[in-house]
Amino acid sequence: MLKRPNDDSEKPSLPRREFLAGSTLAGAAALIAPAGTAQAQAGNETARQRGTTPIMTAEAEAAPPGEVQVIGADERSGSDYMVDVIKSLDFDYICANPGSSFRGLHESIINYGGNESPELITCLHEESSVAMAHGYFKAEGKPLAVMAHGTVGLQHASMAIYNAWCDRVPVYLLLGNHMDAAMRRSAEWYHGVQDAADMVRDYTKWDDTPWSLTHFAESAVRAYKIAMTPPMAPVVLVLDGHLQEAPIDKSPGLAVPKLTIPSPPQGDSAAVEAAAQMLIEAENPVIVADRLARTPAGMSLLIELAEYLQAAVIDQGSRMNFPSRHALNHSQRAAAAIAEADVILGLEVTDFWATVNTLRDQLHRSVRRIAQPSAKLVTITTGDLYIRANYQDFRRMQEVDLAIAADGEATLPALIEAVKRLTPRGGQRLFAARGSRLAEQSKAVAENARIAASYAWDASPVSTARLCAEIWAQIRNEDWSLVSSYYSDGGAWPRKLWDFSKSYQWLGHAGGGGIGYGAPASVGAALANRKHGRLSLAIQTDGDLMYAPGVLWTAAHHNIPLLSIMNNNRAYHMEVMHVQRMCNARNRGIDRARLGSEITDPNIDYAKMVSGLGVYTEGPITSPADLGPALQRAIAVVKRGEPALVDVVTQVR
Amino acid sequence: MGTFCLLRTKGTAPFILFAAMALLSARSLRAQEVDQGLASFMQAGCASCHGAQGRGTALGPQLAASGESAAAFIAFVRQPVRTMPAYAQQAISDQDLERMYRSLQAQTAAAVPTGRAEVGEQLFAADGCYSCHANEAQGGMHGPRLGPGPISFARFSWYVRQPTRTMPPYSHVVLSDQEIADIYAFVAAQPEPPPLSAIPLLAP
Repeated sequence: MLKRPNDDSEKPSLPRREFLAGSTLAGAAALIAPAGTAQAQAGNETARQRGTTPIMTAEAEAAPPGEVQVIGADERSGSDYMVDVIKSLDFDYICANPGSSFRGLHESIINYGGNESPELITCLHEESSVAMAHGYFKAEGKPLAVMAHGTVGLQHASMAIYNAWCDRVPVYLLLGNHMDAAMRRSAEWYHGVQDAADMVRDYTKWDDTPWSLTHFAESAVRAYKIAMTPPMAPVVLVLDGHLQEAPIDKSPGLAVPKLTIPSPPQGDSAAVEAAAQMLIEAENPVIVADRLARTPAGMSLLIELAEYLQAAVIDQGSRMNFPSRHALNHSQRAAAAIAEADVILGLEVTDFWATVNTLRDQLHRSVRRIAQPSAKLVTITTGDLYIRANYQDFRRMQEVDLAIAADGEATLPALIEAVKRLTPRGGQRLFAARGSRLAEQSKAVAENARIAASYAWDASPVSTARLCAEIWAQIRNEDWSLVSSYYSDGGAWPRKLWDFSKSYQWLGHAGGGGIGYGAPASVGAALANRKHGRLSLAIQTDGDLMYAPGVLWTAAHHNIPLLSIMNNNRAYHMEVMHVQRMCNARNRGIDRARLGSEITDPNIDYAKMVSGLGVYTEGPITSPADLGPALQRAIAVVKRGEPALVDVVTQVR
Repeated sequence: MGTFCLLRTKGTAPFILFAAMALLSARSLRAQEVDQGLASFMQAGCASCHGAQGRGTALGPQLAASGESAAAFIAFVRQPVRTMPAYAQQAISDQDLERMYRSLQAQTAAAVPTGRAEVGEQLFAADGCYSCHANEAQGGMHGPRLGPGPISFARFSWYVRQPTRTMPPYSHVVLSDQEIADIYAFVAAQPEPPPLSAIPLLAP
């Protein structure tokens, strides 16, 4: 139990006001009665000469305080009011690595706010804080708040903010900053900045620096509203240190503005009818969904549209858009389906150009269109409503035949209604014939995936297919949620072998391709899943974990149940491939291509490392036969409400 | 051609085609037919890239004794994937292409080095093949399975030298013909997996 400073037993012998006035005492570890003042002073002189900490004396600290340091009975702090506003926005958690520039708000959250709604989550890196918020949103559909220094904290956080922005995920950032140069302490000069949000303005949706509490309240509610209106994205509020810490009058006067989230934009009705007509008349319509399903309703609507039309669906996987084993899911034969299509409907597709074209990444890059030249292309996306300069996340421009600037999920009901209304009598019989053919094709693709997984079945290191088959055997009867996704084969096999049917079973990608997202986003998603009693599991790549492994301490500290299974292939293998291309293009041989990308010599012992963070561990496992029992033991730990990690040494692919 | 395509899609094509090809082996062909096929080959301009007897040049792969099926050969001629021009029915009939195919198969292949699987295993790792095709050549997200049952050595070797997709090209400077043969022997030596029925974890 923590000792409180106002406990009688712990009270200092000096009056509290005098004690607080002694600014040089900030780090004093002990209070010693003045037994011999001269002796103590002599000792202090010696201490100063030696550069060590002087001993406190009553005489030295007897000077009267210059100012009152305790808030008055009729006052409260600015950050208490900030907490009132923050509570009105219904955040479940607020993630932070501590920082003095937001100490006022930090204290108000844990004391005035009771450390509930939001509860403070202790993070060991600001990138972890933001990526946790990213993962949390994707599992729960609610944003988390994050506190950070306006300078050094934001610099740490920037990579994760960029990922969230590219992924159009809202994160609510509160940055501490001391703007008044005349009042800064020493460190605050490094931590003070004129325009804190400038550094991330290219990849946040909105920011503000309030100069009064009323200004804060309006901007805080506005920021939430902007972040949560599709297309969603991170927002930033910069909170002046003085605004947080200065006392304000307790009497009422500062209201909390009402929050109203705008409804997302639906497509123009004439354009939606035109799209419906094209789909109905198509011989081989294909629906491509990427960031479509904002809510669980998104998947249900897409199923309804696809089943009515009996159209193939390609789920590009930025969200959980379509069940993996649905007969109309043709994601695993996407290129073939695109090549056959005469109408392609893109729903919140982030890279439509790469959907209908392919680029050959050799010394001389060449481009080939996959889609038929006559294929009609239709897009429904908020990407046409929001674009920023500088960072090139808007990708190549694809010429299309019909572009509907609207939210995909919000537009689906109108599109479904139009398709049903405009389908001529007997049209559904034709659709059904198409559906039978598509079902046969997807059945063959699934069978081929199982056959492909059977190769190198008993190999050591463990094949990524075997890894995923072993995991599936352990979780298939649980209420599971795969909270990782990754640009690795370990991340790709589940979509081929597992039965994804619920909105929280697949959470998409990092967005901006920034490595280091996987581990913290998994912990954030597991935090969201905890209250639902879901079994959260992550296929954790080794290179990703090493960016900020401390987030697993956060999981242990806050009892966040998460099963992390290492896809430990001991290298950044995506980069190995790129260097290989350069080696061969320059005719220099490929045998040194792994230099700079391998994580070997020494091999990292993840079980040992993560065990030191307070997490149950198994491994390293190299034989596939050992995998099943290890997973069972680890799952038992996770079911008790704790994190666990199983280190599996895997093949590259 | 239609028959060949139909057989191919049924999955039993390799066996039936090999049997058919055996019946139509070079020894059973009349010399006149071989000459006709090669004449078509020269007349259509194929030799300018594939060499006078289809043994390959820097511009086009070896076709002689390639082991590819007639259906695959004809399909590729109709819809080539790289720089080769497409040949329509009006330019050359399926019958002529089949005759050309048989003539090419009757040619002696260029000398194929004898591969050493144990050396190939080391090269497969050292030269980075594993990074896309996985340790046992079983393939993955970034590269297809190579073995067991690889494509013909001629096609394999050609692809290593001039890949059509994103695989880095391996020139003679970085990988000798002997080394390709060693790697080929390694991927060909990979064991067949157990049947799916023997792997309960892969049940649907």
